Amino acid sequence: MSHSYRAVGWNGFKRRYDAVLAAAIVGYLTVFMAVSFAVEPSATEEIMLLRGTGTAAIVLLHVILCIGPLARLSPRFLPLLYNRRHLGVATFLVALLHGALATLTYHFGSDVNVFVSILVTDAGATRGSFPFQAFGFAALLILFVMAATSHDFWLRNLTAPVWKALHMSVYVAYALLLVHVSFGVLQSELHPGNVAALAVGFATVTALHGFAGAREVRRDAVVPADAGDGFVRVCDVADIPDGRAKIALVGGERVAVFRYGGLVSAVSNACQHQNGPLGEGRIVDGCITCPWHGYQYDPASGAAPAPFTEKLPTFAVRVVGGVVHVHRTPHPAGTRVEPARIEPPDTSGVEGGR
Amino acid sequence: MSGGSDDFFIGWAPSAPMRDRRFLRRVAPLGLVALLAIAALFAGWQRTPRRAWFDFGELRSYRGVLVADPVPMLVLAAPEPTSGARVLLLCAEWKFGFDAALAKRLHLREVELRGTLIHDADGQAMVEVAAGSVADVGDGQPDAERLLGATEDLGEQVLRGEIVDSKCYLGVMNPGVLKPHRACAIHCIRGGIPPILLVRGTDGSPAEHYLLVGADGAAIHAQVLDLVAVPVEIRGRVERIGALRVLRADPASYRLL
Repeated sequence: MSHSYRAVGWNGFKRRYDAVLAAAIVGYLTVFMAVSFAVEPSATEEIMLLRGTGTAAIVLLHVILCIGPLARLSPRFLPLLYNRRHLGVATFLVALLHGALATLTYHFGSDVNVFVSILVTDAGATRGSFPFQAFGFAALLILFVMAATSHDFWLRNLTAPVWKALHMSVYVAYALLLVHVSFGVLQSELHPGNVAALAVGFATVTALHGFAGAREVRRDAVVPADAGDGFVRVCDVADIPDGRAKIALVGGERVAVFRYGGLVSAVSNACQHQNGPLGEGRIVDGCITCPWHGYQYDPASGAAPAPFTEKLPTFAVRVVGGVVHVHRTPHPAGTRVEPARIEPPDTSGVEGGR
Repeated sequence: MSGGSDDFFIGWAPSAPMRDRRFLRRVAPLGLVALLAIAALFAGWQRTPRRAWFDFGELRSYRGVLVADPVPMLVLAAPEPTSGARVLLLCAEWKFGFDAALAKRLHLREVELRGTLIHDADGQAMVEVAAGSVADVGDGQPDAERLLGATEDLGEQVLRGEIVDSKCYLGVMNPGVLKPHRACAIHCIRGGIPPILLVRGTDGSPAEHYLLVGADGAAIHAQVLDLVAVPVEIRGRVERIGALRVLRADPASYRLL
């Protein structure tokens, strides 16, 4: 977390993450080049590097796409998600090198403008001349926009929903790259392992998203019962472990209902930073803490502790007979709501909030 | 906000939970090994690089008889030492062919030129001629047919293969074939580099290639661009001129497979 803009808010974990990432990319390219020249010593260096960076970029993109659902399925993968933006920027840089080498190798040195060449030269009116370069170029542009706007400066200024929507275009880039690869290098390198690898990668990404999505659909399918006065019944208070939350669909919005000590509070489930699932977070130092990047909020007011300024919509909450009720209508972001107090089991419950 | 939770990862916290540290210590090396294995597999699965070279940075001088037809070439009195070729096809720098007007003017003249050798393991060679390096040193008209060898008519044949540009195929780009190279081959052929038909061998027999010219023997370039790097069938008359195989056919008769 940071309340002022710096190029990178470095910490020990990010340094280790980036060191491993750099070693992985350098190691990948080294092995790719070494094996390529062991197989055919006269292969052209720039084409082998072009292929090495191309395959590295698509492998890294698969890793990026898998981290999100993996982190939803198991919190053990959250450390990989924490610094995913650096992985994304690194992937863009590797893809950029691939694109630059392809442009220099295949498009530079003729009497046609290189951008015109990339967009139209390989397209023909015949079978087998379905273009592939323009798809790769479009994907690279998307990765560029994502890398360029990856900093929290853009997140703040574009607003989280717009930023999130923009960065969901990674799936468009992935689709474009599947076309780029399928109608490009897979038309020449016919070893079945290449097709199998792409198919396994696609199946893995799809399956992980399917599993993670199905879990959310199951959770959202539970419609809380009406509890009167605009409240809905969410769960028994005993269902929420201390310091953690229960996520429920209230009034069409996911709400995170936190239990901490003898209190219960409810806030919007979407972190103001990157829409992370706050309900999968914890109470740390008395604050709701997002599992993705550690953004924190006071559970009663939904406001980040000073000097931070993020604010969450809050919800009225009450505990009646050991059952948690949440009001359907959110309060404006940052509005303090008195937490509901959990009474001993033999009492009838105490209302809080509205 | 400096605290943490025993089993909850917070990126900015001073240390990760022990369970996460153990998990990362296990997963990170496995991930790295898997990544390196993937790199080795993708590299090892490549099938298109061939034994061919572009001696970039080594400018050499050659002296021989320049022949303009069917494509610009230099015929040497003795085999070129690196490639063993006696006939060196000629091209210009980047994606351009040898100056056709200059070739016509110096046809059958003895010339000296400087350039970079492009050659493959089959003994085929080309020279990327340095701009302005061609000098007419001839004093008479050498007997080109004696130097090249007699033209041998191998009759009409039907050949199936891929149209590529001779410069990249012979070694400038390795691999320089099929879809990833299609745009480059189109630029090269449009720029005047002679197109060739690459006929891949079946059952382990070596690939052969044929210089493509029109039915009348004239150079062809723009007429074949749509059919570059896709499977084609060409019916035409094959001639052997020395070590070169030339396929004469009207480009309009080329058939897409």
